[in-house]
Formats: sequence, C-alpha cells, structure tokens
Amino acid sequence: MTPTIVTTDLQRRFGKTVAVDHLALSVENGEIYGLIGPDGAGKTTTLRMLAAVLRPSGGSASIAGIDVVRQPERLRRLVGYMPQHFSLYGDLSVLENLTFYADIFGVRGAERRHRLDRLLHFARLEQFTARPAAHLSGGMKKKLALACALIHQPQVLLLDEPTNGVDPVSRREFWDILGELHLEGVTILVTTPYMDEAERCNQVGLMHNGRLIRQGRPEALRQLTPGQMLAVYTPDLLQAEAVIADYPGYLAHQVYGDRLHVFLDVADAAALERFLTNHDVRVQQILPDAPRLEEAFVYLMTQVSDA
Amino acid sequence: MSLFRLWTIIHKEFRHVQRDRRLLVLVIVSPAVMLMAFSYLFSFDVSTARFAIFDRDRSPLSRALVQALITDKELIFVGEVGSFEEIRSGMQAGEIKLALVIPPGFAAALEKGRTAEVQLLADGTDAINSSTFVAILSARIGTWAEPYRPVEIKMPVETRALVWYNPDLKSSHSMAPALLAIVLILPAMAVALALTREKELGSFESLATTPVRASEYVLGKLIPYIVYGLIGAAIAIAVTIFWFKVPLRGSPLDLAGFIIAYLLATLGAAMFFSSFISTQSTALRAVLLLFLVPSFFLTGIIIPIDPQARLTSNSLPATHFVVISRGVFLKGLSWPDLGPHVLALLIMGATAIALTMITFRKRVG
Ligand SMILES: Nc1ncnc2c1ncn2[C@@H]1O[C@H](COP(=O)(O)OP(=O)(O)OP(=O)(O)O)[C@@H](O)[C@H]1O
Ligand SMILES: [Mg+2]
Repeated sequence: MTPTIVTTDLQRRFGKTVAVDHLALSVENGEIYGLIGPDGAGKTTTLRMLAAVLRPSGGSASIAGIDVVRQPERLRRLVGYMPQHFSLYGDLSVLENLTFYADIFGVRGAERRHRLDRLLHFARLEQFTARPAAHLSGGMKKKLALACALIHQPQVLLLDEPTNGVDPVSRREFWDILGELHLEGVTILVTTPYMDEAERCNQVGLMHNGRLIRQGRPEALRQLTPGQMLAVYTPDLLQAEAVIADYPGYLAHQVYGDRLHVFLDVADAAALERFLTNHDVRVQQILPDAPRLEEAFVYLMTQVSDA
Repeated sequence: MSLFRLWTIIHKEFRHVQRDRRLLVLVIVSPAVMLMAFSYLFSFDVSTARFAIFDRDRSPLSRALVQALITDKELIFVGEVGSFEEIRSGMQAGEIKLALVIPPGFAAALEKGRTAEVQLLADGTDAINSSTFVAILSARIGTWAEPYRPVEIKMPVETRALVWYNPDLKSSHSMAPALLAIVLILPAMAVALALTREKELGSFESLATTPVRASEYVLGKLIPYIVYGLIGAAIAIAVTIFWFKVPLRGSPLDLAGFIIAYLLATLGAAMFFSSFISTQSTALRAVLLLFLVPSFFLTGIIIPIDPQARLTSNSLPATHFVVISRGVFLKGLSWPDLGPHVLALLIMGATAIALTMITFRKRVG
C-alpha cells in the first residue's frame, strides 16, 4: 500500500533561506508520525505546503494520492490542519467558532448538532461554549483549534506544535484525544518540541536545516546513541564536563539539569567514579540508564552540527 | 459559489464589526463626524474677502456697478484705487485679496449691446480663498449685469474661478455634498483593515484550508461593509441636510443607489490592493495615500481639477462621486444627467472586485 503522505524532493526557499530542502517524507496510512527538529528546521513550512497554503519552490507532495499543488481544493475535505499559531476568531465564542467551521464545510442539520456535541465533549469544552475564544486558556485554545480542524471528520490531520505552551495535564489530555483518533484510523502528522510526545508516535522524523536526517520508530531511534549510557549525579557539573573527555572509552556526553549523561564503550560505573573523584569531581551517584529519544535527538544534533 | 458559505462569511463579518467598537465607530459614526470637522475646516472665511475697485471707465454705469458691490454684506470693500500700482502694494501688504478693474469703454460696450469686460485680480498666494472670492464677486457682477448683456470677466491671474452651482455661494452648500466623497472612503478603510487583520491574526491560515471560494470570501467581506457604509452615509447625509441645511433637491433613492455604486468602487479597489498587503498598518497607509489624500486634492473638492491631471482625477472614484453628489444635492439631477459618472463607478467597482477574485489566493506567504 502506498503511504498516505508522500513528499518527493520537496523544496521551499524564502529568498536566500532554504526552509525545506529536498525533503522526502512518507507517512503510512493510520500512523501517528512525529516531526521533530530544532527551531527553524522547516517543520511549519513543510506542514503548510502539505496543507496547500504555501507553494513549494520545487518537488512535489501528495496526500492520499492528491497532488497538493495541482488539486489543492480536493484536499480540503480530506485534511484537517491546525496551524502553529492561534488561528481562530478571538471575538467569536467557542460555539460560534465551531459552528462557523461546520457551516463552511457544509455540515448541517442533525449531523451538525451531533458533531458539535461530540467535539465539545471530546475537547472538554462543554462548559465554555459561550466564552470568546480570546479569553480561553492556552490549552483550551489548542483544544478548540483541534476541534475546529476535526469538524469535517478529516482522514488526515496535520498538527503544528499542537501542545506548545500547554500545561502537562492538558498535554496528556490532548494526546489521549489523538490516541482516540488514531484508533479511528486517522493518519496524523504532528510536530512537537516535546520528546516525551515523540515517544508516543509510531514513527519519528528528525528534521534539520530543511532536511530529514533520520526517520524511524522511537525504539529504533533511541538505539542511535553510541555505546552505553551512565547517569552521573554531581554538584560539580562544570568540572565534570571539563574532564570527562579524557576518560578512556568516552564517546559523548549531555547535560540534563543536575546530572551528566555519559556515553561510553563500556559502562563501568565504579571505574568512572574513581576517575571523576581523582579529578576533583564530587560524585553523588552513578546509575546505568537507558537512553531516551531525547538523548538520541541531542546526540544526532551534535553530530550534524559538527559535520 | 455556494450561497450558504457566502452567508456564513457575511454573518461572521457582521459579528466582527458588531463586537469591535472602534470598527463600528469607524464605519458608522466617523463619516458624519469627519464631515462636520472638514466642513468647518474648509468653509471659507468670507470676512477676509477684502477687495478694492479700480474704476477706469468713470461712467454712470460703472458707478452703478461699484455702488452695487460696495453695499454687499459678504464682501468687504476696502476702497477705490487709482492705479495698478496701488493694487499691487495693497496685495503685498495683505490689505486686499481681490481687485476689480473696470476698463474704459465698459459702459459703451454695454450700451451698444456688446460684451463688456472687467478684470478681476486675485491674490494667488491664497488659492483656496481667492478662488472663492473670485467666484463670489463674479456671481455678484453677473447678477448685476443680468438686465444688460453678459459681462465677460477676465482674470489675468493664476487662479481659476470655481464653477459652482450654488447661487448663494455659501461654501458649506457645495462643500458638504462634495466632502461626502471623502468621508465615505472610511468604509473602504475598514474593509482593507478587515482583510489584513484576518492575515495578521492568522485566522486566514485556517480559513484557507476550508472549501471557501474566492468569490464567497470576497463578497462575504464586501457586503457587510457596504451595508455599514450605507448606514454611515445615511447619518452623514442627515448631518448635511439638517445641520448644514443643504437642500437635497434630487431623489434620496437615487442618492442611495449612487452611494452603493461609489462604495462598490472604493471598497473594491481597497480590497484589491489589500490582497497584496499583509499588515493592517500598511493597509491603512495605502488607503490614506492611494485614496484619501488624492481624493482631497485631485477631485475638485477644494481646488479645481487640473486639466493636465484629468486622467488621474478621472481614475479616482471620488472625482465622479463629487459630481454626482453635488448634482443630486444642489441641482436635483438624476440618472440621465449623471449616467456617465455612475457608470464609471460601476465599471471601476466591477473591475476591482473581479480582479480581487481572480488574484485571490488561499495562501500564506
Ligand atoms: N514566510 C517566511 N518568510 C521568510 N522566511 C521564512 C518564512 N517562513 C519561514 N521562514 C524561514 O524558514 C525557515 C524554516 O522555518 P519554519 O517556520 O518552517 O521552521 P520550524 O521548524 O517550524 O521552526 P519552529 O520550531 O521555530 O516553529 C526559518 O529559517 C524561517 O526563518
Ligand atoms: Mg514551526
């Protein structure tokens, strides 16, 4: 079966900036695909081209076999798009916004009532139907935007940082909603700055400078970190960072708040502790740990920026 | 085109305006307020109409003309002079704005039934007031000369007489209907803001991914502002009639129709260039520079249309509406007389709206 979303050699330039560079993306039917990448990697530009609100400078893209440049209007009923920034009408109430999109998509009568009820419930917005969208909390705005993008029951969803700036509880709720859509068979392409969210995807693509540098299942991507990982807890982080590269078998390291993640050929906690203590680093604890997607992402990013 | 989707957009747009007090004021109240402000600003201070007379004919008829003029209530007669030199120095000192020169042979010409000539010398540095005074004085001389043959008035000065159909020469009479053309640009400003606000706030990005069509979107934005524009116009017209006491000699229904034609032209043009603009501030500047300012100076409202700029003037909707509005208000004109101007507005409107629809793209960036 051909993938639902396919881009071939997709390009977009803004003057001299190459926002998307020969991108080859493919998202299988019914999958949740997470697009991650640093700021300015070209995620929004990619989603805009797929939503047919931005013209590619080159290459092609299609959704369910429909070319996004040649037949954009055929996509409208098939695709739901949630832009990165709030894009509803702040002066209209929750219900008015939803009703507006229902009307524009020609969802009417009993069907409209049914879908509005369902989406309001789904987005946990039943109590706020009369509130102007501008006065909703950040999380509620995002859920309303999702509800509006779902009013025509699209088979494909393009979500651009749908949980950015949302509290952890709302984020979880949001992903529960995406999980339900996934069970209904909706294909979802989502960008996110949160690695824990990327872990919940079936496939993850890492974008950098407009290119897709790695793509795979989260389990597979996690394996991309080199060697074995040890988590070092120490009050002397700076000193530890300064000397760690001299440790035999050192491959890479990353700092996470109060700890250092060290990647080594052989994870020998006792030997590492001796080495650090000898170099004036007070060690509280060293634990073996499994690398997460986050470590893989940071590692891959240092690899490409070194290259 | 789906009428239901069109209605959906219209309905939404009405709500936006209803809920935005500033926008509501801009389209409904501001035209009337601006009309009052401008009318006072541009109504001419006739008390400065100081003039002198140089009577070179010295005949009973010329004395009669002088007598008729110096007793006029609106013109301030400074005195008689005996040379052109005196006129020049008087103008340089700012003591006189206008001088009437009655050449030798004036009476003789009138008595023989030939066209008599007089000269009007005006202070060209005060163009707006001077041309008004020239108009006033010309009208007075014309009235005086009615029993005789027409008196031809020659003006070897840079100013041209404004030809106003305004027998009392009250400036607000001709100004208020003409200024309607200016204040009715406000709805166009509002629609330009509405279009760019949608892009600026980002709602256009979502709307662009719906099945909405160019025609539905463009008409859906246009129609509410035409309706609000008409309401604003009605208030401004009420001010013109009841405050400035300008008689509406023509049919109110005709006027409403012509205003719709004017709104189509201005709103259409505003929509067209707004489709190439992405911020409200740029849109505002564009309306000011492309519409408001040229409409003041190139459409014959405060200074006469320069024949060399005729093409530019004619391409401005306001030029046509000034003629229409003055025609309906002061002369009671209707379709047959104003046809070309109304047609010009309709053609401009249709062209602009069609172009807006054709160039409309459901794209961001
Ligand atoms: N409309 C535009 N005009 C000019 N440059 C643009 C435009 N949109 C994006 N860019 C540039 O293209 C590049 C990619 O931007 P894009 O918004 O796609 O990145 P992103 O991955 O979505 O970043 P973020 O995580 O910050 O949202 C950036 O360098 C950006 O400055
Ligand atoms: Mg982005």
